[in-house]
Amino acid sequence: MKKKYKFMSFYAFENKVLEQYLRKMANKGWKLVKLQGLLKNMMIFEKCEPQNIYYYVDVGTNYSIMFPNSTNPSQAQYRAFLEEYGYDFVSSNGPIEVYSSKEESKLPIHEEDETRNEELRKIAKRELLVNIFLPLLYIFIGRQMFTGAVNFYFANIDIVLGFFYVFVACIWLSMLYPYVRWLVHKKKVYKLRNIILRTYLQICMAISLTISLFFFMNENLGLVSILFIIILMIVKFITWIDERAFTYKKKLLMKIITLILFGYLLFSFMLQYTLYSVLHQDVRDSDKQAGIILPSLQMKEVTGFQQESMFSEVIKTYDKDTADFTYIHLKNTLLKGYMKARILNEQKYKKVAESSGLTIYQGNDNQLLIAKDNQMIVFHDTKIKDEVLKDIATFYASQN
Amino acid sequence: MPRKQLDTLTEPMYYTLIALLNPRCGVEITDFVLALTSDRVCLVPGTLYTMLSKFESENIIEEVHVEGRRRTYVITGKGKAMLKEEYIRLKKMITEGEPWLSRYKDE
Repeated sequence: MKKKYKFMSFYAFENKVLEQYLRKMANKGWKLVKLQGLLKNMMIFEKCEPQNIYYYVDVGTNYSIMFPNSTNPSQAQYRAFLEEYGYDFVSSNGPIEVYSSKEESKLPIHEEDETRNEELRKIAKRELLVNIFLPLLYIFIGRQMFTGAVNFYFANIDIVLGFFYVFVACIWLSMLYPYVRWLVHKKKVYKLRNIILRTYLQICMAISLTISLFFFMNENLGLVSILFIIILMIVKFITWIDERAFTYKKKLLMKIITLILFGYLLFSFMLQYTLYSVLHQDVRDSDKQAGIILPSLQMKEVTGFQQESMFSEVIKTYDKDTADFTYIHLKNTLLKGYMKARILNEQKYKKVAESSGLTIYQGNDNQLLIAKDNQMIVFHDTKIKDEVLKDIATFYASQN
Repeated sequence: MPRKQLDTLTEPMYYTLIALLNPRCGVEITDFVLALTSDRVCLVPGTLYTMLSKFESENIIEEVHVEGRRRTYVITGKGKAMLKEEYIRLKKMITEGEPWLSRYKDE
C-alpha cells in the first residue's frame, strides 16, 4: 500500500482547520491512517479511492503526557461511546483525537458554545505547559548524550554546546509561539494555508540548523553522525514502547519500567551535571594550579591542549632545552581514583620513591611519572631522569 | 478531598435521569430526550459522556449491561430520590410563580 508521510504541526485549538485539511486529503485520494510522533507532528496517509470522508477532531485532556499514543481505559470507553453515534475512531496523538464517518453526522461531538470555548482555553493552556516542560526533559537527555560524546571525541565543547542551545531554543520557541498567539490574540486561528507555511518554516529552520551544526563539528563529522544515529535509535525505542508495549493491560509493569527509566535518566543527568560543573571550574584554575612544575622544566612551548575525557585533561609540551613531558591534571570527581589507576596501569608504572605527598613512579620504557594529588607529570626522555631527580631534591630542600 | 454533591439538576441532567428510568445506552438517551422534548434539548455525545461518568461516580446511575462495547445504564435509588426532589422543586416553582405569571399563559 502506498503511503504518504506528512509533517504537519496542528495545535489542539486548530481542530476545525484540521478537519477541513483531512477531508481535502480524502477527496484527493489520501486516507488518514495514523497520527504519530514524539512532537505530535507526523501524519500517515494511505492511498485510496478519492472519496468523501467526514472527519471530526476532538480535543481533550484525558491522555498520558509521557506516552501520548497510549490508550487508557477511560479513553477506550469514550471512543466506544462515540462509536455508538457513528463516529469511528481513526487515531490519536494525545490531545488531538480524529474520528471519521462516511455520512455527515447530525450531532456534533461538542456544542460550540461559551462553555466549550472556556474548555478549549483550558486545554490550550495545559498544552502550552506540557510543551514548555516536555522539551526541557528532551533537552536534558540530548545534552547529556551530546556533551559526553563531544568530550569523548575532543571537539571544542563550548562552541558546539552553545550552538546546540541556540538550535534547541529556536525550534522550541517556534513550537510555543502559536499557543501564545492564540491565547493572547483572542482565539484567532491561522488559516490552512498559513499553517502549511508555518510547518514549512519550522522544517526549514530545523534542517538549516542541523546542517550548520554539522558544519560546526566538521572535524568530527563522521563520529558525531554516528552519535546522532544512536540518539535517533533511542528516540525510536521510546516511541516503540509508547506504541506497542504501553497498553493499559500491563499498566503496573509499564509504570515500574518507566519509573526506572526516568529514575536512571535523572540520575545520569545529575551525575553529568556534577562532573561538568567540576570540569569547568578546573579548566579555569588550571593555570594557577601547576603545582609541581619544577624550575628547570618551565614550559617553553605548549604543543597541545587536550580534553582527554570528562575526567582528566592533558597538556602536552615540548621544551627545546630539556625534554618533552606531559602534564596531566585529574578532575576532582568521583572517578578520580579510577582514572589515576588507569593511567598508572597503562605503562605499568612502579613506585620508586614517596615523600611528603610526592610519589615517583617508573614506567616500562624508562618513563618517569611524578604524582602529587591530582597532578601528574610524565617525562618521556630518560636522559634527563637524573637531572629531574636532582631538581626534586633541590626543590624539597628549599621547601623544608 | 470530599466531592461536592449535586444539589440542583441542570436541564440536560434532568432529562438524562428521566431517560434512565428504563435501562438505556448513550444513543438511546439522546434519541429519547430528542423525542420527549420535540428536538428542543439535544444531548451531544461529548457532554453526555462527561455527565454519565459524573453520575456514575456519584452512584446516581449504575451500569447494568455491557454488550460488546455498548454500555447500558439505569438510575439507582439515590438517583430516583434526587429526581423526585427535583420534580417537587420544579412543581413548587410553578405553583409559587402562578399568581404573577399566569397572565403570560396565552402568549
